[in-house]
Amino acid sequence: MATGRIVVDVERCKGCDLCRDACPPDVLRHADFLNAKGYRPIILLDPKHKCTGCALCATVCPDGCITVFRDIPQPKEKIHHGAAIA
Amino acid sequence: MLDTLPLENERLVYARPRTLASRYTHYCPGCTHGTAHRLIAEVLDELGLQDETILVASVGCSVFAYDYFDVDACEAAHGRAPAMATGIKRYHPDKIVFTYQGDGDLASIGAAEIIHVANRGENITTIFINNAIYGMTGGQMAPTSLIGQKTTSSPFGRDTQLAGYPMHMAELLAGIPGTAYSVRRSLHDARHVIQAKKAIKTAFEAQMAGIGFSIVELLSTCPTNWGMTPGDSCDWVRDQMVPVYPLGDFKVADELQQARGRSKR
Repeated sequence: MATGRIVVDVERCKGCDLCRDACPPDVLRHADFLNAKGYRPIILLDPKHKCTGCALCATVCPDGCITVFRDIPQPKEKIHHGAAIA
Repeated sequence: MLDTLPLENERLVYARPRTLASRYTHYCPGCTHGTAHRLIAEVLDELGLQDETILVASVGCSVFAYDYFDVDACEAAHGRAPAMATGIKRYHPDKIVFTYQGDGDLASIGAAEIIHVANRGENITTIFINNAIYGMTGGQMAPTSLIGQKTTSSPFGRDTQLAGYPMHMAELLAGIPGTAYSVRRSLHDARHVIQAKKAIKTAFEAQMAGIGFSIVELLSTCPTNWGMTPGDSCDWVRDQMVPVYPLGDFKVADELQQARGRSKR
């Protein structure tokens, strides 16, 4: 499964929750602070790294305040079954 | 300034389009005007038209659109954006000219202008935001309000005996010979936003090919004047507006279909 992260421009966010409704892994939450306009912005709260970088949040964001990154998959190191791992 | 550059082992999937100015918008939280702005900006970025485009802003909530797009712009009198766009396009036929109008502007006071611009087949693009209400003036009934919809000027619901029926502008303009492209899309969820972006791109391509007048009607939300949360207003669009205003292509000119067919192959 692809993994990713988002960066929210918290001063631009108006806390409308449309991204939160659109987010499949449900990793967006309201911040516990107010921005300069008095809104509680959305932040990524993703301790288990469930964000897939699908960009659905950015697709529905009316204020264009979300930047999305996706991790480039790294080739997995081969593990030989039965071999002792130090 | 935010760190919007990818780290190592990361790639950028989505960033704010360049054509969108950095100014904060005055729109209410959850208003899909912002989404429509962003889609237009993304399309202009993809087609490389930022330096070639002239916006004609309308009156309504979108009155400050010239501040939010990083393109040349001009403000028209209420409803007269298509007339002004006609003049600009005829003087600068090599530029891309588009108008951005709401339902109070386009379907009410500007109904004559939009019908005649379509009838003359002016080679401009119109983005029509239909949210079934007057937003900026405080939630009065618009020509596009639904039957029975409660607004500040129809507190017992829209009465067809008194105020007639909802105006279907996309269908109306599709019946005019000069129109090249007339479609309706919605902005209530991610899938429909992506479809709306494709339609906006086709509309601008129609203008680039010089085929004729192109209009994209976008069903939009007005959470403040509908008295709902942004999430509930998206559900209201899906459940109440889409049955009245069916989504679809009402006119795609033959030349445009051929051009699209070629590009697909």
